[in-house]
Amino acid sequence: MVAASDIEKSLRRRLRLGERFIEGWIFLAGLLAIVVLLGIVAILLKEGLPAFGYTPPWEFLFGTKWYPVSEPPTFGIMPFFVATLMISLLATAVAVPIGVGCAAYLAEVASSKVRETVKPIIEILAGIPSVMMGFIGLILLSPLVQSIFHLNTGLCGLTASIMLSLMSLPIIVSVSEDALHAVPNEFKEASYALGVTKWETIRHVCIPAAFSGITAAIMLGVGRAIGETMTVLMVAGGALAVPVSPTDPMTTMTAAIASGIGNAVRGGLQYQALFAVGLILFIISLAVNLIADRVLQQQKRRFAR
Amino acid sequence: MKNINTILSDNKEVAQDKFAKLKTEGVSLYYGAFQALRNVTLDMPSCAITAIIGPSGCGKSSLLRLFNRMNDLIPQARVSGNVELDGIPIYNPKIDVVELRRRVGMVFQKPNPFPMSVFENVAFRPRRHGSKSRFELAEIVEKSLRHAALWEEVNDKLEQSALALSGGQQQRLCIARVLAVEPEVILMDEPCSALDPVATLKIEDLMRNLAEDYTIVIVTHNMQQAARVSDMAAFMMMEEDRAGVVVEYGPTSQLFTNPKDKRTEDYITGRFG
Amino acid sequence: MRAEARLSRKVSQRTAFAFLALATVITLTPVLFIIVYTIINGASALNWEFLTHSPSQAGKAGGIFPAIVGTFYLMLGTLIFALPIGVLAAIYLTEYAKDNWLTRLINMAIINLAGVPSIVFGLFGLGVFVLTFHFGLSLLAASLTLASQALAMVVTTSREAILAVPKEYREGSLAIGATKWQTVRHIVLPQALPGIITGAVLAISRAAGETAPILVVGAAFFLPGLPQSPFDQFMALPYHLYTVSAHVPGVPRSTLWGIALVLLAVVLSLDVLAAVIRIKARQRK
Repeated sequence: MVAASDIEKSLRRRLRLGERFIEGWIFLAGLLAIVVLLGIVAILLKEGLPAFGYTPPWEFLFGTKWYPVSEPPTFGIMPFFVATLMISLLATAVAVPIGVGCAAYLAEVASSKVRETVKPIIEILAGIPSVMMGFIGLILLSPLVQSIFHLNTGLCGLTASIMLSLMSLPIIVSVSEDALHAVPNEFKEASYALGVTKWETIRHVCIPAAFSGITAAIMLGVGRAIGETMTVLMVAGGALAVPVSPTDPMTTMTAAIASGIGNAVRGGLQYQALFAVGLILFIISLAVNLIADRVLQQQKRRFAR
Repeated sequence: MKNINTILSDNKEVAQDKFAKLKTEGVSLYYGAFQALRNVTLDMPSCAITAIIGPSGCGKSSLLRLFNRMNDLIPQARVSGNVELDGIPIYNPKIDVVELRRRVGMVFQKPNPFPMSVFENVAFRPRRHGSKSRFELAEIVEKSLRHAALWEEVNDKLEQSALALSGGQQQRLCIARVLAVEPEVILMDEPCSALDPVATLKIEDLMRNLAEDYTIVIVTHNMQQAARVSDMAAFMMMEEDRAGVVVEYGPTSQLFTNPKDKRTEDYITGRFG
Repeated sequence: MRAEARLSRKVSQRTAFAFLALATVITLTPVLFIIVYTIINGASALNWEFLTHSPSQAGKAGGIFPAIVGTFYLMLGTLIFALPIGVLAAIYLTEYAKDNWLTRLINMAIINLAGVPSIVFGLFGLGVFVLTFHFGLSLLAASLTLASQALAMVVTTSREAILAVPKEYREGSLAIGATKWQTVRHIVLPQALPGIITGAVLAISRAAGETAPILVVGAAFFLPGLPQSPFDQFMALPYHLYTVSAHVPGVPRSTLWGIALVLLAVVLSLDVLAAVIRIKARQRK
């Protein structure tokens, strides 16, 4: 029979240094996401805030002249802001009906065989690199736009919007389809039992029920469009004036940073201004994604069982 | 070893103190704001089988999981009162939970062999505690499988996946896995409810054999099983606020033939539950 | 009257469904078109010289070998930095983290990181790795930048894979006196491995196609030789496609499509690999 004190001793907490060591690393790794995010914020602030010392915020945000090489240089981001807004909204306006329609088709109408075939293809669309989409836009689409609209150049906001709408489609389809799937069968069955056709059910029951999920999908699509760089860099035209129509060549915030940062002197005025644009872009993007995520959480809670 | 019932009937107080392997004193268990167990006081004798019976949802599994602190895995779980193993309070922060779980092993309702070979399942913990040679491990595996009445059936399939075994064999494998770490107590949470009657009887036989060397606590919703297999039985019920309480606890034969509490009698005779 | 109403509702349903199907076709057609068109136009440029020689005449002639090598190095670098850290972070979130403010903050950070525009990652890499850490325009800085971008995705997919491991395995292990890390290392991780690898392959596939982040942290238009150390600059396929198509006049069309084809082939073959791993793993279960 083992003495009680021996048992007590053997049950005493062990150090297990090896475990502690590994757990320490695991914890640090867990923190890294926060570290990276904070790092992004920190570097944008560090390099970008000084830009507001040179150009007062009001002038920076609403000024329409971006002349980094004039004497003295002026930095107003209205041209970029309007371009981003125009291209993103146009791209989303085109992508949403198509995307939601496709999602409705896949979720409610298509047979599972069709669904199994179509979904991977849409995933492939999502996987095409943006430089590739820019390339296609440059070589194939812009000459087409140029001739259809009788423009001087096909490198304009419209071309960029079309390519961007293609790039937003996968996320809009995917999130909308999830939202439609989450609509409880009971709603649909109740509708059918009243003699309502499938289409009417989709239109009046499913889509309204999935409304917040679809809204989130749209916001994520907008977020994607706002953050896109290479495609707009290659096909939107690169003009520095505030665009008036989609057929004008223009530069979005992302393209402005991408094209300018290579030439900017490190720590110089243009360098700081570009980081400031990055900061604004980051904030807008963050806001859109946070709202979209909040909406998605809300939708999950509505139909939680 | 005297028949436990005789000892207990001779001198209840002393006997319970002498043989108490597992003890709870006024223990309550909370999941967040919900009280799952209220004021449970039990002494479980060593080298015997104690059954916890009662209608479903009354907290039997929660009570069982007190003894190996598996409730710790639930984020909101909180225990008040005293739980002891061999007189040592196990909810003391100074206690090594890993070592506790070695001493107090558990077999689950649905057999859960690891997705590995039969050999690796049994050798899992021994392999990683103390450098054990292939030879030593093989000895441990054979000993445990024999002890679990499974050796004859699997000694030619040790390298095959454990998932290929039948339900009853998988459960005996899980028992062998527990035996391989040389526990003192084996907790069994409805070990036969997922098995067919033949497999069930095999496991009940195994339990009776194991009870000679180990302390066994089994949760079962099958009253006949409790009557067949156990030495002591605790009858639990859910009160109006859904907290579980132990209504009556005593030698099995007495609980089933001459229950002291009317609720026990109602349950035994099938009037509810 | 009733029969007419029913018929018109049926007709409008058919019309509506036709439009929905049309939307699906519109969604699918560009992808298929792009892939087929790229193959048709790019195949002619693919020959041994193209794939194994350096570019000459500012990219108008010669091959794209350094760009292929550079992209390969970038994929490797991203993997080395993003995978171990991402998996460990996923383990933390699934197995160790308590339900408190810190965990919620980490989860929020991951969601937000996933939505940060790629050019902002480029600025991050420039400011932090190139300048503050003094790595300069280099493979190292670019790999770290791409890895930072990939981190959110690796954590998310690894987390899903780990959560998919049934809790019965964990309980069975802990209940016989195995430690938490032993349970994770020997039971949970091996089971989650296919899902983790799938996620890693997808993350590398994305990194291979990224241009904006590497634009400012080390990608070069033309280099005489291959990078010899992580501190050297490098060429890369997506960047090469960008510069040669947008900034160099007179490049033969077939060359451009050839570059596009190679890039597409790299990205898509990785996606296919990920899908195959996913399917094979599901079959085994």
